[in-house]
Amino acid sequence: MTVSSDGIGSRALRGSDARVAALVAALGLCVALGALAPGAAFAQGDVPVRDGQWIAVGLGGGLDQVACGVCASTPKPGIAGHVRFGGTLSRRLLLGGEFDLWTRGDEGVRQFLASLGAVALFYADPDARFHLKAGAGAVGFRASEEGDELTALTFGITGGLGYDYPITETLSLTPFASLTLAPFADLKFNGDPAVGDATLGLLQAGLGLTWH
Amino acid sequence: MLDRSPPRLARLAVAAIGMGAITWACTNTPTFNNPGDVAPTGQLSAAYGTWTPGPFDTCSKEIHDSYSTVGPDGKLYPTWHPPIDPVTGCSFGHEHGADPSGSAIFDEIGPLPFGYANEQLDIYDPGMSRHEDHVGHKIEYENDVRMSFGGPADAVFEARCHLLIKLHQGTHSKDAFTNNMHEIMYHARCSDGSAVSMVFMTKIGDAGEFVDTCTGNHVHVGTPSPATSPDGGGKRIIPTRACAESLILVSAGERSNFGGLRERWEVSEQLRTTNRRSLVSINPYFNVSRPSRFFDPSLSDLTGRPMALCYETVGGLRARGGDCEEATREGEIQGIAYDDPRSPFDGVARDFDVNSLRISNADGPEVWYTDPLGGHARPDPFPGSIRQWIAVIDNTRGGADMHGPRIGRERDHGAPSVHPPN
Repeated sequence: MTVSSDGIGSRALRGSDARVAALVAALGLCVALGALAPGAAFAQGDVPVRDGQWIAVGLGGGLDQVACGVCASTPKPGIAGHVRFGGTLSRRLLLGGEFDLWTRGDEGVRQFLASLGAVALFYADPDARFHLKAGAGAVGFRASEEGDELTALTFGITGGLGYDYPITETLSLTPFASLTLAPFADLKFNGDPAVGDATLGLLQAGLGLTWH
Repeated sequence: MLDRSPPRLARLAVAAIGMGAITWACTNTPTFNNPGDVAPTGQLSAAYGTWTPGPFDTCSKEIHDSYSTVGPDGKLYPTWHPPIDPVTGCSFGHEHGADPSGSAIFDEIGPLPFGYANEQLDIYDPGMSRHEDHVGHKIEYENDVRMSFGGPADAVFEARCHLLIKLHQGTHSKDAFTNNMHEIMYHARCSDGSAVSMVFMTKIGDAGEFVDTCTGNHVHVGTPSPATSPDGGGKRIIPTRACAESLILVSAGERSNFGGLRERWEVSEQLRTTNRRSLVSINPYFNVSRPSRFFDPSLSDLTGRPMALCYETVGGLRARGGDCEEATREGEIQGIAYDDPRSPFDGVARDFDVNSLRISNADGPEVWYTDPLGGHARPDPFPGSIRQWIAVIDNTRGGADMHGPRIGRERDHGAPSVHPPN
């Protein structure tokens, strides 16, 4: 016996959150493609400053997925953003802390997925703009409506990539994409165990600014 | 707990690929012991062969009795048939609801043996014998029903169920004015692993009474049959004569409210172990829009007829508009009896609210044997017991248990030849 799950995706894609998220994600993608394109006008060939303390913020769209035996199979779009700051170990390695937040409002239910952890940014060579990100930390989920809430808190890992497109010597526009996965989550309904062994996931893409 | 989610590593891999749709496939579901698979003993159940044709019916008893199935006890039972025999074209004058073969789980469940729980009750407690008429067995099913979980859980959880349910819900006689024990068959297979196949006598409300549709008052009628019928949860909501009058007999310029005659049987039932631990809890509501009766204490059989109200005038008040005018062609046709196929009050318009399905069977086993009332569940059979199949799962989820919608409203179970008793 197979029971279909059609009809969920169309509902999930409704709502202003989804449209804003899609717009921001598309914008980020366009900028990223533009920056990678040969002959892109501004600062091609320039090497941005990459030392000392740094801070980065980003905003974009995100797809959240709570995976479990009774969880909806369609990822839910929403608005996602992050704040990241840290120090520079070398021109090839930055270390810092990162806070990510994804949210979505749909039919009276507000959902949040947040992560807080340590991240490392790797550049393949000292002058590279493209970088990879890896990290780990706590991941939490909350969906609430009229006093009821579904929550989870667990440990997750994150990975991603980005490209520093220099605007000034110390400021870069940074299109990014990242994936956070947090397995072994216990979902609780109003504090009582509801579903065990769930996996929280967040795929996000957008546009950020990085200051050194 | 039966873990129907993909393996942990596989889940991670799927998510990592891009968090695409995680397709859940219900596989390896242990099957219900299809009653149709049991070798026949040659014995007839008490429910078999009880229908005989009336003056409006053109099918023979033999044709009717050919619609039969073998129950889990090997006895022959009546089962679903259409209101019109497709082979001969004759009419039975009654219907049993939706054709269960349209259910996605029919192949697994098999034909439903009407009266099996009643039969087992004879064995379990001969002093509590309860035999219900043939026409009251009503089937409804729906495939791929989207369930809800309430509040924020609806945004995260998703489950769909195939449901196949039968209740004996007679709405043509005085039976339900006092009698609260009615056979129910409840089969569900859901995408989250929730699954049950239950058959038992459900106790709907208190024995000996019902609840008036209009006032909500409990109406004490008399001794139930059997006299030892235990009280149950829920209630049977049935209109009284006063209620029916207030709805149907109206003054000039008003229209009768025929929809108000609706009966609503609210089930609130559990399968329980010998130490009264709940294994399964359900509370479906069964609605009948145009029953052919109401409670009338002034009559010897206590059974008033909406059709008769179509011809009554009380203090200038009478039925106006709707069903009565259509049936009598605005009064041109006189003398339509309650059991005439022209009566619109035939009990064919039904639906039911699925409501909650809670299973607390995380430790198993899958197969339990209960008494015919759904109690004293234990893993081994005993005289008069009924085999119940319950998935090994706890789907209560901290209170985010699943609920189903109203189903069956769009189905037309009738035929022009269907008439009370139906």
